[in-house]
Amino acid sequence: MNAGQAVTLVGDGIENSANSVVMKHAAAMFGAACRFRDTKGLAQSAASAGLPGETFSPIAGTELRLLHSRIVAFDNLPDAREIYGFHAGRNFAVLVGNERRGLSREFASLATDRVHVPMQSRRINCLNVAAASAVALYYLCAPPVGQMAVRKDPRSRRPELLLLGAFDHFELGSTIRSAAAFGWERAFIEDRHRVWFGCDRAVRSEGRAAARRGRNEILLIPSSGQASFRYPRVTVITCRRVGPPLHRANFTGGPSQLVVISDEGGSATPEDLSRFGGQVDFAHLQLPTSEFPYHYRLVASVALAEIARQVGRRPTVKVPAGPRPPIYDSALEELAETSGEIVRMEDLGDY
Amino acid sequence: MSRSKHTDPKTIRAARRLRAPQAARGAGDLSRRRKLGRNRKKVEAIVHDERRPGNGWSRLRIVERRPRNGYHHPAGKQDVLKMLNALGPVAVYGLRSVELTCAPANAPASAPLFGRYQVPGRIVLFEQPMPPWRLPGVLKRRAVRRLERAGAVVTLLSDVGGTLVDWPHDTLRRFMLEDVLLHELGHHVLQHYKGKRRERIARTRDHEAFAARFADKQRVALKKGNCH
Repeated sequence: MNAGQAVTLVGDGIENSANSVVMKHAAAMFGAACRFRDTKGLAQSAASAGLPGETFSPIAGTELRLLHSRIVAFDNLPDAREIYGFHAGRNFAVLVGNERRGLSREFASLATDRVHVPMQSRRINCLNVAAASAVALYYLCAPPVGQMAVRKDPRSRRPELLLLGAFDHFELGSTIRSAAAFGWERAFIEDRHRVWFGCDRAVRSEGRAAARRGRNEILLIPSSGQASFRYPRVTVITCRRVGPPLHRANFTGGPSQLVVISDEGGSATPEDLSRFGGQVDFAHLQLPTSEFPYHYRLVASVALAEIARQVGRRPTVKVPAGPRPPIYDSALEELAETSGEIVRMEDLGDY
Repeated sequence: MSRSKHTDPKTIRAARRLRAPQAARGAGDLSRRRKLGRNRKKVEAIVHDERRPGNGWSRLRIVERRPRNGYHHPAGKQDVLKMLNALGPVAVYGLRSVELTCAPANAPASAPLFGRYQVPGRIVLFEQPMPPWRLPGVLKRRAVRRLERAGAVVTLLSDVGGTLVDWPHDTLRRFMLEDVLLHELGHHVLQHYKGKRRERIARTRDHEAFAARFADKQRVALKKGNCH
């Protein structure tokens, strides 16, 4: 975020305290404040979940209106604009709603603008609320980018995806959910820390729940640490300032390009990038600060949203205005059934 | 009687609109004519003189597409034109095209498809196989009567479960014109009152019944030589 910007992220009726904490961290990534309208017992849930130190600064509608003249509702509301190419200015608040119910009527009515991030999947129609907050803040605070591309065959431009070395099953699950929502049909998982494949039952079920695996049809392909991918073009996405910013890198190489998103939250181990392919490029997430609590799902969701913007979507199909015109055929009446032969049961038995 | 144009019979309305398709609604209004004190017989005489193919005819397209090997169009473009001329404006008014085309890809292989009417104003006459036809299965009596009335020689091969249909001389051409084309025109005439709108004016059963009645009536009129 640039100097002079005043941005507030507002969570409306958030239930899950873990999500609220990650939302605060998402706001910190972009130098924004984070406030909550607590109508679903968020404080109690934080205490019961073992987060007594966390404070969730409350905010009401009147205060919000006094603080910001521009209030952007980030939800898939009717007549919402796409967030790609939307300019919010320097002083605004972003409203994100409850995980299941979305924004409340009271807060939705406060909004001066309504934006949403277009989903490419028919089955997964929303992101994790913290991941969605990061995507919203990235596109509202970052340098302006163009609108989503429209292509005849976007699938041919979609690069392959490798999710590398996630440390936490919630983070990986939410990232997989984002990947499916942005239109990926398959992804490679290099599960070094055993948070997805071969983990215990509780971790497994929590991770699957975060990924919405019941509806999520993405094909997850396990790959080992020694696997050689040999892609002609590899792009590694990182938070370190290496390579061009995300929106200037090209992610439309199609199946010949591999995008690697590695979890940089833990202790960094030197990675042999040559095993992924011949030409290895970097692209970095342009953030206003380098010191922030790292979450894999936030970085990965922003990266996936940007790749989805570049890959684009199909042009909207023109639906015929009315029903099909009546058609009357003149044909010979259907042929009568071929006459058969009556057979007695005894003859049939002899046969 | 209001003598409104809105209550004109189809034959009069079709002729008037074919003659002057772009004319305003008030043109030739009977009430105006009365005001001007014109002689009605004189006006009608002028109208009668103008009954010739005008702009409405020039809109009609008759398209003939080449049939596949082993198939043919029994009735050609000129045959269709002659038939439409004989029927007069009631059949031609609002008609956009008559197309002689190949059978559609999804047509049933067991029973031949003769023609199609597609709202608004498109008649399609499909190519037919060279006679004699060997049809799988035994034809229903009603279908046999229909073909025999058109001059076909139908032989039911009950022992092998098939039907042989032969069309001597130009009987198939006459069948396509006097049965199929007239039937499709019947569908078109019933849709007159819907104009260009793609709406179903009657349920399919009633539509078919009207088309069959229209075809019968016009066939009789053609034989007598007093078509509209």
